[in-house]
Amino acid sequence: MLKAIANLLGALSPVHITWDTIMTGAKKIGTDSLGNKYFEAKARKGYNHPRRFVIYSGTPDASKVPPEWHGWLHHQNDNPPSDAPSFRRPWQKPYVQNMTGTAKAYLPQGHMLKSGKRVSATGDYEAWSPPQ
Amino acid sequence: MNLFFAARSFLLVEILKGMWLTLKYFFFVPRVTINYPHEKGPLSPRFRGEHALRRYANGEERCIACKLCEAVCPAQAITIEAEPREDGSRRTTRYDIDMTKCIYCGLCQEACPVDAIVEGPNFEYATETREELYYDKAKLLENGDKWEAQIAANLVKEAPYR
Repeated sequence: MLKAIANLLGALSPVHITWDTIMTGAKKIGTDSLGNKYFEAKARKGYNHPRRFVIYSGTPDASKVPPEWHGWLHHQNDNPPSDAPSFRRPWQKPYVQNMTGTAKAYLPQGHMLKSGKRVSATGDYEAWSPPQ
Repeated sequence: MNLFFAARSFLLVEILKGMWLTLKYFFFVPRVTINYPHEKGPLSPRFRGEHALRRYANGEERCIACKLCEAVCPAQAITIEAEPREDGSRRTTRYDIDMTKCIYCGLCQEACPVDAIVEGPNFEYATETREELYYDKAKLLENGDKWEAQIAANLVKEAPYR
C-alpha cells in the first residue's frame, strides 16, 4: 500500500512529471516511433540551455530513446527531428532498446546459449613457443 | 593570539561555517540535479560512446579490413580477420571489439580511412553479464544500422573542425 503511494507520488511517477510539466510551462514537441512524448520548457536558473525531457510510454527506460530524438534530448541538435533534415537511410533498422536481462539480449556467437561454436582463428600470427 | 585560537576552537566556528555552506546550497544556489531517465544532460557531438560499424549510402559496409584500428588500439581490444569476398572486394570475416578492454580513447575512429568504425552517441548499453560486452561484427553493424541517423548528423556537425 505504502509502496503504491510512493510509486504514485515519487520523483519519477506520472503525477510528479505531470505536475512538473504544468509548473514549468513545458510545451509538447513531438512523439517518436515508440510512443514516447517529448517536452521542452524554459531554461532553469543557472542553466544556459532549455530544459528538455521525455515521458516514456510504459516503464521508464533511459535506452528507449531512438537516435534522432536522442540527439535532441541531449542538446546535440536544436531542431526537433520532425523539422531537421534526417540522415535516415532506407536500410536503417527500427530502434530497439537495450535488451539486456531479457531473452533477446545480444550474445556473441561462441556463447553456450547461442551456437556454442567459436570461429577458429585463421592463423595470421604465429603462436609463441617458449625456448627449450 | 592564543586566546583567539582557543576561542575559535571552543565556539566551533568551523562547524558553523560548514553548516552555513550547506544551508546556502539548500536554499540559494540553483539546483544542478536533473531528473535522469526523463531529462538528460547535454552531450557533445564528439562524444565517444558505444562503437558502431557504418555503411555507405547504398547499404554496402564501409570497413575494408585495413587493420589500422587494430594496430592503433592502445588497449588491444580489436581483433580483425579478413579475406577477399566472392566479388573480389576485401572485407572482414571477423571484427571483434572487447568492450571490457576498450578505454574509449577514440583512436580507432581517428585512424579509420573510410569512417567505418565510429564511437556513437549511445552510452546506455550497460549489460547484466560480462559476455554481452564481447561485440562481434554482426553486433557492430547492427549498432550502425540503428544509430546511423544521429552518427551522420554529428559527423556533419563536426566536419568544419576536422
